[in-house]
Amino acid sequence: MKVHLLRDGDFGRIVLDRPPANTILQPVFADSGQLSSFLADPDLRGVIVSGAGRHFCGGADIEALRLGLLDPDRLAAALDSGKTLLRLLADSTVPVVAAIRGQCLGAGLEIALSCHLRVAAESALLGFPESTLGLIPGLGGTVGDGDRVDRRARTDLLLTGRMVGAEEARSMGLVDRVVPAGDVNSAAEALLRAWTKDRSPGLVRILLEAMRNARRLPREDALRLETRLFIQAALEAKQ
Amino acid sequence: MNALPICLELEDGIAHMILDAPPRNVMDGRFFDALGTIAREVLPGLDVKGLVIRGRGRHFSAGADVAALRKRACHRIDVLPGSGNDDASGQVLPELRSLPDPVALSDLHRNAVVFTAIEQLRYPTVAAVDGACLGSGLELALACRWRLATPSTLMAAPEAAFGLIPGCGGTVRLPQRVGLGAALDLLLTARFVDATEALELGLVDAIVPRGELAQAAVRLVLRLAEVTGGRA
Repeated sequence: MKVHLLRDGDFGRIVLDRPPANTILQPVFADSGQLSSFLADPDLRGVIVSGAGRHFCGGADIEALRLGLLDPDRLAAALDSGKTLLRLLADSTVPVVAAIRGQCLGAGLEIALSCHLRVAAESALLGFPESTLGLIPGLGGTVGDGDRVDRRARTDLLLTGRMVGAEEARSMGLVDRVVPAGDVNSAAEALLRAWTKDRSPGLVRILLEAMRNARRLPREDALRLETRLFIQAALEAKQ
Repeated sequence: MNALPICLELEDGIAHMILDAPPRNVMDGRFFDALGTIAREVLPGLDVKGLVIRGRGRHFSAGADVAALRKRACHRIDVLPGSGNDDASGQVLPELRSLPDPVALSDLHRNAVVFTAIEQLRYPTVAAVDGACLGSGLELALACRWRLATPSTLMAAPEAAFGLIPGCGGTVRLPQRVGLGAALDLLLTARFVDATEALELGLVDAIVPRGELAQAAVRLVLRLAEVTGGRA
């Protein structure tokens, strides 16, 4: 799969590109150095993650995965690196929004869940089909790293492997907004614009840093650092 | 004018903490002093079925006196250079280690710690939220285990509109309640959320008629006491 890192004015686009369903050949689906420097651009105000064509991402390519299992140690290392990529998205200090159309399955859903917010088309299909192939998700889907997926819903999706539509996905906490299929990209962009237009880049960065601490650090430490970030924001606002 | 900005009452085995600086129940320095004393020295020792927090008058609280808070934070930093290398974890945010002024830090952190003390109470806590519940007011409500709203409740985290972020645990507790995406949306847009949307987002647990808010909160505490044996 190719992953395009594009700039479109203030916003960046990460496009998963391997038609028809943008399935993933390698757990390390992008170059982590390129991705982190893309996200670190000081002029970048937000990022939209989407799939080329009709689908977001149909998950891992099963044949590639079977081949990968011939060398389990190497696959394990690759899965770890894949999780590092997802963490780059989740820990980004500019907002990252997933724009989901069509299939968003398995590893695709794990990528989407690493984004800060998910906008889905009414016709989108989401799920963890791994169990129907005798597998489990390999990029954090069983853990739910700070996402808001209802625990019972997650268990249901993981065990049955069934796909759900966008509205049901919303009721489960898998997606945040549901819009008509043609509006997914514009809705994601409108959201990023609304979030950033009246806010300084520094403030957005500080806020996302505080929220990252809340997910990654013990509560006490996150609260202490919030105070520091509050003062930093106050100082920057004064200038 | 000299009355305390918070009033604590005990009634039928339930503690009622009333934010008592109408009309907006703004949280200024005096408020946090009083809250600190009550939350640390009184509430943990009470043998009650639960705690209900509400505002006097039409509003829960319009939050902190933002202008004063910001002025104080900046002023302290201007006049008091210091070491400030008491980083909590050491592993993150190295640029923050250069931030001076342990005084401003401890001053603000003290406010945050008070909310944590409320969160850690061993009995059920209910925020009965009518009218405006903004900024630190929302953070106080989020430190409670349960939140009841009325049709006239309006909630917002407007800190970003002042160039600030929440300073009393909002960046930790808000995403925990409503998820990262919704929290980011509320924090960056600073928009107001009515009771219906607050319920949908999971920001509040129920909406009750205005006239029944106090009783509903009491009923909830009694019910929780029955179910949990009085543990939060």
